[in-house]
Amino acid sequence: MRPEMRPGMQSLLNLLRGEANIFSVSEQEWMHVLDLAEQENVLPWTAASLRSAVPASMPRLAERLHTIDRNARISTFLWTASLRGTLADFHKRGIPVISLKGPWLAERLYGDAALRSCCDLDLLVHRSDIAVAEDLLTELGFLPSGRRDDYARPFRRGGIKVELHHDVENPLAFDFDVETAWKRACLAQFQGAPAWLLAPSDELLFLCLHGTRHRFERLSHILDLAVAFRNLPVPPSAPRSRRGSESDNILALSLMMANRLDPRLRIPDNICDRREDRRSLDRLAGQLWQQSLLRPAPVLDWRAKHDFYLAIETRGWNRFLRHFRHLRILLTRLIDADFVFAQRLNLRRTWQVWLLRPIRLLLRASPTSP
Amino acid sequence: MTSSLRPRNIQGDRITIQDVETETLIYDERSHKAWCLNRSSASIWRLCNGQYTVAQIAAMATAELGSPVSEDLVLLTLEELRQKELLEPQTVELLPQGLSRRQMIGRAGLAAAALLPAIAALTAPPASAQSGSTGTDDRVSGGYKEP
Repeated sequence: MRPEMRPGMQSLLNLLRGEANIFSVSEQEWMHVLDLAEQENVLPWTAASLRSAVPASMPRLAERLHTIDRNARISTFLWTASLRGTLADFHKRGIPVISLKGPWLAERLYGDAALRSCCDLDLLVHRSDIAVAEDLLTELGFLPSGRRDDYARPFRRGGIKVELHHDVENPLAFDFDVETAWKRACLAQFQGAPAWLLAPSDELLFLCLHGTRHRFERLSHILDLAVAFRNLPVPPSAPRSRRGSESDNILALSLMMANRLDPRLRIPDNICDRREDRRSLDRLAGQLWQQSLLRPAPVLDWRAKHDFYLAIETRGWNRFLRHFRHLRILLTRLIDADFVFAQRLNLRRTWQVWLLRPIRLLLRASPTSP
Repeated sequence: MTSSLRPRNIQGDRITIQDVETETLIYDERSHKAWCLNRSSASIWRLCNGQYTVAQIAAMATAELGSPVSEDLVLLTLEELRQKELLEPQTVELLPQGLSRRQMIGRAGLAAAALLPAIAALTAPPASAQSGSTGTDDRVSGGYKEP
């Protein structure tokens, strides 16, 4: 027997594909669809797709759509104004900065920043500019809200969260040549504030890496990719010659996921060098897609993530490399769970946390335990 | 006293303004504060250009809103705008004490309540409410989280 999709999922998919017949679903069911869209982080886009077609016979739905639109516009105003101001200050200080995702991406890909939910601003600076950029953020009233890790540090000012990146994703986990990406970046303007943008091919790869890191756990990741593959003028095969097969596979898997949401997206025949690689990635995309339709995204443990990253690597050497990366991370990096564990014993120094780490791993202490 | 008062709103390229339906959103990059003004307070705020007196603002707001706007209502709005730093401080230093909200409703009735200024601070929703991520603690190890 085929397992059943989550209630409302088929209607949500139809809506995102532009194939929904609003009269075929009751007002109450549309309300459930909106709840589901909120869980999947695609509420503004879903509401906008419904709003143009909602009939007068569904007043509660119309009212809710109106509220969603208003809230999205107010929220977007805040994020947009904060980004504009911050980018202007970086420019005044002479610190080159790239805005990753956020309202600028939404404006360019979705045509309206209010159509994509935003929960933080991701700013990428050169590694050599980290110190001055952190100083500037502090001057602007942002306070560090976490430790700097291998590629970013979070800051917060009231409800506005900024992640200051010096790499787009963790270099220990993924290959992304950020220095070369900087060379290809182009200067643009966000509402009058000058700032840099990743070149389209780099932006596409970045979105694919981002979706992969989250294991495409929400429809928002897949919708971003579908819109990106549709709008960014980069055929998925273009970056393949420059990058290794890890990136090729991530691009291929991302396109396969996007294709499941938007079947009009064509998957080129030569997306993978080998037919068995393609079959394997297609099977993986199918499994991920089914999981996302059946149940909400689970919180993944490191083994599940590791297995997922391994599954993307289809060749011997890359699989070996992935094992090596994993081992390197385990041996050389502390994570929040280590600090939480040490804090239970009132130990806070880094060397103390290191000493306790093997014990924690043996005890398998939960990172979420108080 | 109010005849010499010519309030001026904060202006310049560090101020972002956007209308959402009947409300006006204002973001001040200098203070990093954002506000949502209802229709009457936005109308009065826009009329504060440093040239009009309180009486003139009241008359023009009346025409714009299609409801009678008294000088007391303008003064009450100016006081709230001043507190929120949405007016140039030197232009409202001598702002006289006007009626309170309670007095205003008592005098003009509940009909006046709709015109009372409403200026709400805007804050970003918590990240967890909108986030597509599983949190920040999985970043160090490239997305790995301990079981």
